[in-house]
Amino acid sequence: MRIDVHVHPLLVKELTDKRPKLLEDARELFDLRTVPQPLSTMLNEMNVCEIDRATLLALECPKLNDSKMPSNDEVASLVRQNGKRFVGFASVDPDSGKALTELKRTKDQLGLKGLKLNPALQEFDPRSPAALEVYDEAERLGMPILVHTGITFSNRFSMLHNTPSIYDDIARKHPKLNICLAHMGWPWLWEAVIVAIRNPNVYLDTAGTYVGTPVEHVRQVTSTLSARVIENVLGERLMFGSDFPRIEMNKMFDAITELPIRRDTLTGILGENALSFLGE
Amino acid sequence: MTIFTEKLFLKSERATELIKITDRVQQVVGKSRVKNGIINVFTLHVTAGLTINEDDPKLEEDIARFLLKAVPEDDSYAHHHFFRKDGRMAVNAYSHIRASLLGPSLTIPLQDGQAVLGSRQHIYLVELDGPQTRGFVIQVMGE
Repeated sequence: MRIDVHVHPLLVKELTDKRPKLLEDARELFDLRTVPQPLSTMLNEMNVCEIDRATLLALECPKLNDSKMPSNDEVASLVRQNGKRFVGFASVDPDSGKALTELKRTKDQLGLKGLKLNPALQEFDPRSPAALEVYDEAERLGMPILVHTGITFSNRFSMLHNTPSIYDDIARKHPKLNICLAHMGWPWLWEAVIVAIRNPNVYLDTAGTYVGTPVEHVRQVTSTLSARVIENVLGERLMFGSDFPRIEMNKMFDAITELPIRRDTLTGILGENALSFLGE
Repeated sequence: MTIFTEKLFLKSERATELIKITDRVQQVVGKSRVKNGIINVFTLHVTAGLTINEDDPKLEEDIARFLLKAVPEDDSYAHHHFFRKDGRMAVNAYSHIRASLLGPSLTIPLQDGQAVLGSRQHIYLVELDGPQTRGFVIQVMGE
């Protein structure tokens, strides 16, 4: 089983044709200006590298002119069309006043399996009382969280709440809540690794490329952490993520498969660890 | 003189592949009702190209493999930086260069309502950064 845990379905043509504001928001707020492609392109990229399932992430930002990139309902609609290939993650703003009811709705009515948070774009403090309530509810509902950590390219948004160490206390206090620190917290790689070492419920994903091609980026990560650390420390906690469409799945996949690590570790990164993260 | 233009799309399924479009070109020629003149085929992309060659699947593999080898992915490219225009890292200089080797257009003579092609010649769109949806334009000019 191969799983890409980090896919943003916001430049899916079927969605942008139906709701042009999604395209505007993707360009202005998500800072991504590539051309929308039909859903079949995403599926073809998955097929090229034999990825069985992709986790589709919603991103609802009420504070940004109620931007939805995309909405919980849009993610649910894509999952309904391709239930065997997609897993849906909801998104709520902890400060919205309706985060808990919306989170429950996404699980009970939409069938979404986890929660995506991005404190930079959603402009919330991940240590606020409202955010803590969301973690409580996600833990109660059995919904793993994938949270953005590391660089946010657009300087329109603060990176104040992007550091991985924020989630150490949150993970400690929610031992049944699986938390993925996206992008391995790049460039704060060791900080993310330390949080994962201390907390068995913390996972990292490989999503994104920041210093060149995926191959160059993965080499930089490997030279920083060493192959031994990836094998022996992150072997059961690192998950394959592409960050599609900021990078093509097949290019990220090719880079990960070139990692100079043991085959069993690679198998875990490409899918088994994600099954554990998803609670399957 | 008549000028007939049609934009077409196709979906590639691999990172690099040759996709035969000879029949689609001939269909547009038929729709144009132009009998004699020239056909221009133009790709709307900078990481896809056009070529004419023999429709042997093994040769298609050879051409793809040659392009991969001629312009390696693992090299030092100035293009590979954060590309503000797209809002993401540019990571495909090799695809652009491969496309430049092939070129974005082809011109084919048109006679008696048929594209004038040799018995071994077929028209290909060459995907160099797929899979993607690709657009190309066929323009038929003549009488």
